[in-house]
Amino acid sequence: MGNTIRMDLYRLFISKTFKINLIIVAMITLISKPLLKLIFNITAQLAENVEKTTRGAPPLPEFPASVNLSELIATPFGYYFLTIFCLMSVITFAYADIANGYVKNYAGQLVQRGLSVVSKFVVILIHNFIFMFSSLLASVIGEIVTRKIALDSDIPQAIGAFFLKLMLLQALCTIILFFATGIRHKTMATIFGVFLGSGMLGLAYFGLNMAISKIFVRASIDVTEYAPDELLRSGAHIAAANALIVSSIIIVVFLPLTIRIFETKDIK
Amino acid sequence: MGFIMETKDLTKMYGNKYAVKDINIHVREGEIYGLIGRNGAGKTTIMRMLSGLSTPTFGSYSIFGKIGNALGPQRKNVGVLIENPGLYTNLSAYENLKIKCIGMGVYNDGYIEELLKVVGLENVDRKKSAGSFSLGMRQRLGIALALVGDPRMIILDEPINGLDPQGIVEVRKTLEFLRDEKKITIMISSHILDELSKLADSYGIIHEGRLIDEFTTDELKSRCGQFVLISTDDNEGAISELNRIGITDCSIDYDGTIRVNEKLDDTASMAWAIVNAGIPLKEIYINNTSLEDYYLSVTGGNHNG
Repeated sequence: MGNTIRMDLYRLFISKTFKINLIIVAMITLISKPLLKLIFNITAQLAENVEKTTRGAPPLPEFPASVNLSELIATPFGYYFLTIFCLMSVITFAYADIANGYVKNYAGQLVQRGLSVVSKFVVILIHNFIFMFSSLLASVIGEIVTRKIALDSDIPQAIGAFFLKLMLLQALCTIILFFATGIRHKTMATIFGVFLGSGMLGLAYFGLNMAISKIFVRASIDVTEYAPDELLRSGAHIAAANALIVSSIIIVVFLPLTIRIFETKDIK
Repeated sequence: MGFIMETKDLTKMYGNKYAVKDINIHVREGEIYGLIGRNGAGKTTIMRMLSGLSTPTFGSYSIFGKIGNALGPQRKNVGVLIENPGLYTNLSAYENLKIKCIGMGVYNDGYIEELLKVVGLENVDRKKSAGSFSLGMRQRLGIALALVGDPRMIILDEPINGLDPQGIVEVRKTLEFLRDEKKITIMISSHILDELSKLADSYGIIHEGRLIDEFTTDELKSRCGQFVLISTDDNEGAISELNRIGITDCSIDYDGTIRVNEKLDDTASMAWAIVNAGIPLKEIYINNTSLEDYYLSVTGGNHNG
């Protein structure tokens, strides 16, 4: 088992897709911080010019001089859309050995074929941690060159949120693993990844909420409170119990299912 | 006689259709076992099951005396190359091998170099990607991948398919080296029967999903022996002339030639009788049965082995 994990880790670290996506996420996060300040200052300058001619217009608030470290820790992917790069990297990793047939070289020699799925799951967890931590690091560096970082008292709570989000991301990746390695359908995995990573399911959740409120008139259920992608979007005040339960259920359902399918379905 | 690998009524179904049925194969330790059959006969299906990549619908197999699903850690002793080698084409031969070496827990200094030497790829540029390899080089890299972890047995599906004559000779030498020097048991399938006959010690013929014959090289020789082949424009007339001079053990072969199995030292009388009857004689010669001839005779003819 340890050897299979080491093999998958080596596969991951020599993968160009992994490196490129990681660099994109880190660079966008890094550059966006000073860029945001620059855009804010330009806008403020323009507003000031307008104010000179249009008296009575309210002045723009100042660009915050500092940011709490807890905010940065709780939202490692500063911008949610960056999750898509992480998910694409996972899809490529999970499907690569199936696409090129390399899986035939070793799957038959494993004590149990399903170990390959467990190994991928573990490596994807490491992958996700690297993505989230790198993005957080880039975010901190970007903020350091832009403004002050305040060490506030919410840091322990933010660290909790960080790991809850890691768990939610892992849950989403478990579904991707099911599509890519279990049923071996890269297109399905990609569609799923794009929908989740881009937040396009928001509209579906809105429709679902409407439908629920129509069917159960008195019900006030908001599905976004239980949707893993929506929970992943939330800030430091993430609904911890929901995140924990939802991600656990997804992992407990999809991981054994993927193992079972991978063990019984012929490898071609 | 103990066998390193045996199958018992091995059967694979896809939906309601049998891909292979009731296969009983016997492979001895240290030999090269050739699996012969036309496209779609079921060779790859059998090899997939034995490799652990596919599950039998019915029946079972045992390797090293252990039933397939109870092989456990012994599984790593069966290296495989099924159809085209599965490679990371953007990586070099070294890196492709390194991935599997790490997975098998055998990665150490010099091990990969040794494997590359065994398959004759030791002089290939270390940074050259496998995607730019010739077909022969890819096949040899596939064999090297099958050898990672020093398995006791390797299963090779069409390893010489598509190779040029030079490549075929190189792969043959590699396999002979593995059998003779490394004492590895090899199961191999191939369409190139002439080449297989130079290599294999035992054979199994798969036809329409069934094992219709299994024999050793010695058995092949004793079963076949020599015969006379006669080519004419009038086979019926020629056979009646042969009958007239007392030669009755003759038949028309799959390719339209007359095959005579008796009085092989009297070809002059045969030729004389046919020519005297006014039948144009195109060719007459004594032939030794090849593996191909035997295969075609037991499968009923069509030359697609």
